[in-house]
Amino acid sequence: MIKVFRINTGSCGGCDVEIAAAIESSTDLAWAETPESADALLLTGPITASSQPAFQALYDALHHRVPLLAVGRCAIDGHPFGRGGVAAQAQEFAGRRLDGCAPTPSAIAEAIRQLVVEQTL
Amino acid sequence: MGEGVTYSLVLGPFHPAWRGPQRFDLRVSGERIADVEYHDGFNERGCAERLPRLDLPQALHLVTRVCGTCSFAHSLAFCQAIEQLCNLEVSERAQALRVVTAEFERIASHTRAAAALLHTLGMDSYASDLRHLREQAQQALQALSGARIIPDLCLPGGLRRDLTQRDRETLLVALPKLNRSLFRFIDRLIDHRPLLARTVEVGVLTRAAAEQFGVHGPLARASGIQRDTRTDAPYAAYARLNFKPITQDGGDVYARLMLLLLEAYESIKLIEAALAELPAGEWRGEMPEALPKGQASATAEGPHGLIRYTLEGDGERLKHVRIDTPRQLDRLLTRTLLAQAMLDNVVAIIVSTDPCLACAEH
Repeated sequence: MIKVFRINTGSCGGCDVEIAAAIESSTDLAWAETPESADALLLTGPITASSQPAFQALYDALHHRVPLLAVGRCAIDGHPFGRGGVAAQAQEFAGRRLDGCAPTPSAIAEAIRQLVVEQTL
Repeated sequence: MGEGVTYSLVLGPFHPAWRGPQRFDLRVSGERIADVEYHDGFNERGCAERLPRLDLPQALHLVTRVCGTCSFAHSLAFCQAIEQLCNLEVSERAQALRVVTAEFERIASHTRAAAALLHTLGMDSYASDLRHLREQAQQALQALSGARIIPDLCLPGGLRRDLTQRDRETLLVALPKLNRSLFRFIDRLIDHRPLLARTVEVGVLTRAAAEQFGVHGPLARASGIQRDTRTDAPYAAYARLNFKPITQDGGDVYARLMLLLLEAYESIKLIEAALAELPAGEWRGEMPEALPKGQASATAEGPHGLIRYTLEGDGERLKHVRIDTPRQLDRLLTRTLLAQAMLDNVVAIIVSTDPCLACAEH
């Protein structure tokens, strides 16, 4: 069972509900109660200025053992809200990116599986 | 039971139970909430400030993405404001299809919110049944717009694509089944004793408080306020579709749950009526080349309440845009709902208000 924790840094909510749909329809995916107990962190939203410190704190504490998947275009480069997402951060973020606005549940489920497989290789 | 220990508990900003980021700093005394401090602002993206810097097609693209779950309602209010500014007529077919799309979006949003609440209450098999219904609504949105969520469908003067005759017939066959499933679901839930025990008189927002806070949408209607843009200021095809808003009097978690389900049921009936006598003819919309000088304002009832777009054109482009969205949880409303609540009920009370941070903090 792959457990995921969702970090919404100011998304429109579209990717978040499609992540939920992906988890509902996959027997091998489940929610983690806390970020510490997750196998994958899913980033949604363009990382707004006010959510950045909370996201950074989680990433710094966990990135060495829990991989990050940026879900949706705005988490990647901020589109259509302007400059933002992981591309606009000072540091390089490890992990995968899944483009789409919003990506489909099946694409999300597949990306999560690939992310976790890469992590264990 | 005595007072017990007093301690602090922080929920959020990232929490599995709610979609958008928001933080609750709780002061817990024994088993009850002594105080709560609400923190928001994590979702602020400055959409209204950004819109005048974009050309019109890009602006509509952004408007459709202000909120993923109320996407069509945003694009509809925006397009209606442009239609007003440019004096554009919208054909009857496009008006009817706008209602159909808006109501499928509402069904998806309401059943999603109700499923989240039932999951929070530990009623997972009920939540799972509702998710099947929500999935059907999302598939219908796909037939209408090409996308399961965030439908890029609305255009000033009409729509971007038409509903094919085949898809219309498929929907007309599917709707009575959807209608029956939801009716049976509500019937099973309405006097479910464990549910009543956990939700009646829990997290009450009295009618007086709801009036004072000026809440809109399901939150207001679950507290007995008959306020619905679809009847107060009818737009699209609502005026000719004989629609009555639903209200509940309890103002508690149970009333909010029932309201969401009954509204979704009413939405199915609206869609059936709109599709049964779908006018033939033109449906196309087109983005105007330029905006005339002047101001216009239009409203739509989104899944979470009234959405208003106020636009100002400078003779060519957008000069100023104001987006008004329904009032959601804030410091005072959170205090009212959570003061003296049992700690066990806190997450259910929050989830029952179906907070839409993306709308609130565009």
